[in-house]
Amino acid sequence: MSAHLPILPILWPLATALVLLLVLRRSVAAQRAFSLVSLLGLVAIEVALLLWLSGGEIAVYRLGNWEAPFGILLMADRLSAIMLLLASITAVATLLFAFGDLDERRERMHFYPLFQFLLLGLNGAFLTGDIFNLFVWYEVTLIATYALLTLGSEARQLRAGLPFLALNLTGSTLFLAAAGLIYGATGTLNMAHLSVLTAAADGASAVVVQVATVLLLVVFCFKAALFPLYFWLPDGYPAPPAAISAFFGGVATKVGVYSMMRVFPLVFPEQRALVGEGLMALGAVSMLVGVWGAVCQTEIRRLLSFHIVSQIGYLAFALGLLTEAGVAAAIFYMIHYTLVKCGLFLVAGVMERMTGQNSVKKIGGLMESAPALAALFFVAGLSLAGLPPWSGFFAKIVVVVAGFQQERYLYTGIAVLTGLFTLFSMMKIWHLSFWGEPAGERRPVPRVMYGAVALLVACSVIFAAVFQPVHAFARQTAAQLLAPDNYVRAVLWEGR
Amino acid sequence: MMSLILATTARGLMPLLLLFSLHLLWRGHHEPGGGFIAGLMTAAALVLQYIAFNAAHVRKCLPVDYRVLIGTGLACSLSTGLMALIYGSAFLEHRFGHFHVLGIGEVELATALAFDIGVYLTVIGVTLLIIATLGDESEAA
Repeated sequence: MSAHLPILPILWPLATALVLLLVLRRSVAAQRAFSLVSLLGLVAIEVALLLWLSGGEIAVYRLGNWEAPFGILLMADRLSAIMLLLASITAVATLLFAFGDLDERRERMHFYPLFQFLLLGLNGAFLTGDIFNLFVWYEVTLIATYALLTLGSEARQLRAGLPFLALNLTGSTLFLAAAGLIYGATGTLNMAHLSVLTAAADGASAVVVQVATVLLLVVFCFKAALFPLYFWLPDGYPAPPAAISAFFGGVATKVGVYSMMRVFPLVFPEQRALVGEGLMALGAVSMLVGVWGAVCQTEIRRLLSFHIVSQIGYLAFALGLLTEAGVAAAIFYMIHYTLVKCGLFLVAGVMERMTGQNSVKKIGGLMESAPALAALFFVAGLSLAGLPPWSGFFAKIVVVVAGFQQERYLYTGIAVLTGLFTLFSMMKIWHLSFWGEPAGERRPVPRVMYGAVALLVACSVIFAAVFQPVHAFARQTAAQLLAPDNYVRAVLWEGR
Repeated sequence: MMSLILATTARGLMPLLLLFSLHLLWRGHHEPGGGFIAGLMTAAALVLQYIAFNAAHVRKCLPVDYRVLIGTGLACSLSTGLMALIYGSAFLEHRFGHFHVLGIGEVELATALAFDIGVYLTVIGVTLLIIATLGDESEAA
């Protein structure tokens, strides 16, 4: 069965969604139970995949047994396995939270099958081995995202949904144009095959490849919400219910970052230096713009959305170094920040549920009435700001060290400064909402919502406790990513 | 408002369009055609009924929940792909064989056809669901 392991993360959520849609459509309780059980099964599959690939093997799965580069293939390595598992763990917490957070009307509007379709698209993007299918999986993800963003059809959701739709359609069009250019210049879209052909491209086709590289950089920046293409995010992500926006904030933008990690070292080995410089500069500006945006906000989930932009800046900067230490730092940071960011969104969800308010100014004194929530926020907030001994501290340290190693003092300085502003913005929430006079109502909050937050915070604490082996693994992953020859061999020459 | 000319034409065209869409579905394995375009054509035939008559008439023509139609189509395609796993080959690997059917003669049947039927149903379901949601408020939500 292990030969079919790489395709299971795609087939599993699809089959689950169909069961939810066809068999269990009448009963919300059954849908909940089945979604959760299926998701735990998915986590088990992905743990197996991670264990299998942790030795450094590159798994190639040929759909319909068509040979590469003619057929469609899936490709899994350490990075894919990490991303898959990370997405599923976050999904478990989100799903648990949704049990308490969503009203039955939204649950009846096919929330559970849609959530599975979203996972299907993400998993597909993490596993695909060619550029065109990356586009297709982006679209699958987006269609589910559109539906989840506007699920419930509140005015605010629809207002956020329309620009989101229009902008993403533009992004998709650019992506398609880039894929068309690449196909025209090289005659293939298989990433491993492209790796060989783009390195050998000369004359006119080399120019076309360069244009396509820049186009793809723009598209991925857009998906990842990197400056200057971040503006859709702070309006869009806070609009849906907290469970949905937490999953978007934790995982959805990471697809863009994952694509950068996958595509640039592998597909365009010649353009590395150009892309690296671009990513570092954009990353540095993103850090500052994001965190300044956050400092001015009072609406909690909007504030956290601005922090996404600044955290993505860290990822882009670390990735842009394109050294083993830099890429390893980006992977390491991404694990920390997916868990913590999703956790903070869920904390915000609990605060909103409890007080009926979404602005830090209208909430106060939560420390006394909800000490457990205060503790969870304390850990997650300080972790986001990068204070020891929480996970963010180690994540920021590796980024800063990687930056200094390359003597990028300005950008690294900005990264440190951004940490300081992040701390300020977390302190603002703490000071206004957890300390001070009690303000806002106090409504009961379902236990399961606390459980979901605790799950993510626990994961982040464990991550901090075992940071050394995790970081060693991230380094191995980075080394694998930066050696495209292995992919070419695995895809084009082995298994014939 | 119902137009007599349109209604009569739509009634007459319906079987032709459906037959032609099935023909496209059938020939799709070797020649231009396939589940996607056939599904669009069937959906177009039903949309014509929408224009010529009304929503209730289309409901009578195809009395199933479109969401179920989408799910059934996807399940059909998915299970075709999964069949290959049972035989020990890769997901979506297709097989075909020649069969002798009484009165018709030699017929080639491929698992790709079952996959295409799934696509066909999904496309019909999606198209009609979109049209119905936009055109008829009772379908919304």
